[in-house]
Amino acid sequence: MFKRRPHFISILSNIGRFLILLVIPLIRGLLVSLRGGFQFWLASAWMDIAVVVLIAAMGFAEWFCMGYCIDSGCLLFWQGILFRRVRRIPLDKISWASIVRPWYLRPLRAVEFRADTPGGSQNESDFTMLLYKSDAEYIFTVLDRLLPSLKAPPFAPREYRPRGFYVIILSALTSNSLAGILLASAAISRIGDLMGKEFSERIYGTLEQLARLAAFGVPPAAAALAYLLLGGWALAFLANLLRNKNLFVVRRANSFFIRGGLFTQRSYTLDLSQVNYLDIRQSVSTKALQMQSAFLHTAGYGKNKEDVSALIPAAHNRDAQRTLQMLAPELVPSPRSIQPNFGAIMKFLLDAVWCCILVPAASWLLCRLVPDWEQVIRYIGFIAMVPALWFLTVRILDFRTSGLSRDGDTFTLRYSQFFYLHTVVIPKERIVEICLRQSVLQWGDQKCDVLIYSRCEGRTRHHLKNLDRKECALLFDLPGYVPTPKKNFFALLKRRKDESK
Amino acid sequence: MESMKRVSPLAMSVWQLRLIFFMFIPAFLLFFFYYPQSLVWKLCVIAAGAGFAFVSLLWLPVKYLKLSYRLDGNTLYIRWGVVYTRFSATFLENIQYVSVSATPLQRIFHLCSVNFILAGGRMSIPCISAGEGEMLRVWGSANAGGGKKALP
Repeated sequence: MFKRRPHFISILSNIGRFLILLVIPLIRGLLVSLRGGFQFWLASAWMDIAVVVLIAAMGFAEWFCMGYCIDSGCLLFWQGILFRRVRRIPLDKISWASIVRPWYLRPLRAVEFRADTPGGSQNESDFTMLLYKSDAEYIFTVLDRLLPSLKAPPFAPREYRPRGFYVIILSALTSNSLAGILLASAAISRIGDLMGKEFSERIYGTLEQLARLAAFGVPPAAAALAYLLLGGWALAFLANLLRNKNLFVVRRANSFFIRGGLFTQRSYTLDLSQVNYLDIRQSVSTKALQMQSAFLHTAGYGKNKEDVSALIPAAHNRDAQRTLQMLAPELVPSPRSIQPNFGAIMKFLLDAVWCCILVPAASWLLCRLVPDWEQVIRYIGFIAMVPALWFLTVRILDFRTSGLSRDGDTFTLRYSQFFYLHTVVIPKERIVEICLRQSVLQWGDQKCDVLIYSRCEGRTRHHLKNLDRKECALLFDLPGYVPTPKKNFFALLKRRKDESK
Repeated sequence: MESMKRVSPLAMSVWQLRLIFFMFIPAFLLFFFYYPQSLVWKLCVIAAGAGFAFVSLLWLPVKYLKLSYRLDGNTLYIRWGVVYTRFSATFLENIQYVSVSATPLQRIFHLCSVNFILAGGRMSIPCISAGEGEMLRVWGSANAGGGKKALP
């Protein structure tokens, strides 16, 4: 039986849970400062030392009482000093496993190992532990060896290494300003904690001065906001680039092996039978450049925001299709067979048109209400029109490309969500619920919105607009939802009456 | 092919009683905070009356007429909704387990709600008869995860 404890560096992470005990020396120090001087504090310092030793001892005890083993095809792990918790995960239920090697743990040969199943928490992996590198690689090997035993035909492994330019495109697409701003503000606050409040205030003050100097004729407040967003995006882009660098994908008979990262190396193994769907994403800019990115969705994969979740980071349409044929021939998109009619155009564009109307209307109203801020409001209103027009463009492209098709037992869904166009290839057995939704306006021409819910730990919905209800019902093998032809209102009433009897 | 089956007609009674019960809360607040016959009081009474009439005479009957379900081979169909009519379907191997629940009001009328828990969602049939609900529960549990068993 392979039985081990986690890496000893886990003691430090365990200590974090008991740091609340430091409140004891804190209160004691406060009382002492009110009563006596330094000599008085020193006389009872043994209490502070005892608390620190207790914290360290509890961290060590937690590590000592923690362990895992592989026994009879299950990953068994236990933890807890007073309240012992034992969890047993069958190895064939593990849909995804990863090894993360942060640069600061590499000298200690420690890695963070995570494994997940389709059940359990939506926000955390089912098994997370700091292990020795050799132990983690052994578990990886066991998981890898298990998968080909599932009666797979002979299959030569296929490898894919994307070009650096494609990784840059992916990093640019998946960066958002808010993430970068949060990253920067957290870093500056942390520096302030370490080096004093004055230091962090000096950084903020310097940034403010730079914004004033580089305003170039726009209001300084608006310029500061613009530079903040730009700076945030640049930081997020850098973080994404470091995470996706050296991306390497191997397809074996029943699994994927994915590796990436420059300073922190991440490795993942995914069970092919647990893949829920393939998601090919395009934004307006990549659509114009005829490029696309492909992502795999499986329970646990991509749960952590630092995870590498791309199968193909970004590639020209032809290259992407060729790579998909090589890596995932079971999940290749099929051409559209059902698409919305021309009359549905307003259903696609209405939300975006409202945004394009309301943004300038709100700016005009605010200028009337707060005339002192007119210049800033005009500038922000102008900037806010950019995403509104971008959204309108996405919806126009969605109307042109949206649709549904089927190839054997695999469905291809084409729709848009916010600022991205999605092409989702999903096997029939991963579809949990199909909902054909008709509004009052759609009743007349028997059109409907198709809502597909796919298998996952949470609830994932794919929404296609205004397709023919009969064609959709036949495509999904739902003869019960094929609409009966209407003759006249009274015939319909009579038929309803007969059905209820 | 079988036609869609409606839920028990007593569902209307349950919903109407629930509506009347919930109307007591704004009625009590209105009576407590506003002087009777004042303008605000009159407007609130008119709005509450109109809302009650709309829900009781239009919304709930349409909801009842559209709510139906059917088991057809290995597929469960549920039709429901008022403004948006939803035709939901799931294959029975997706059902993880089935739960049956009943509020005190439903129990008075021997009704219950059946919830089919899926891997990544849930489908419900409210206000069906208790016997039918128990039958669906037994059958759904037997078929959960792909097991095949005929409906008794």
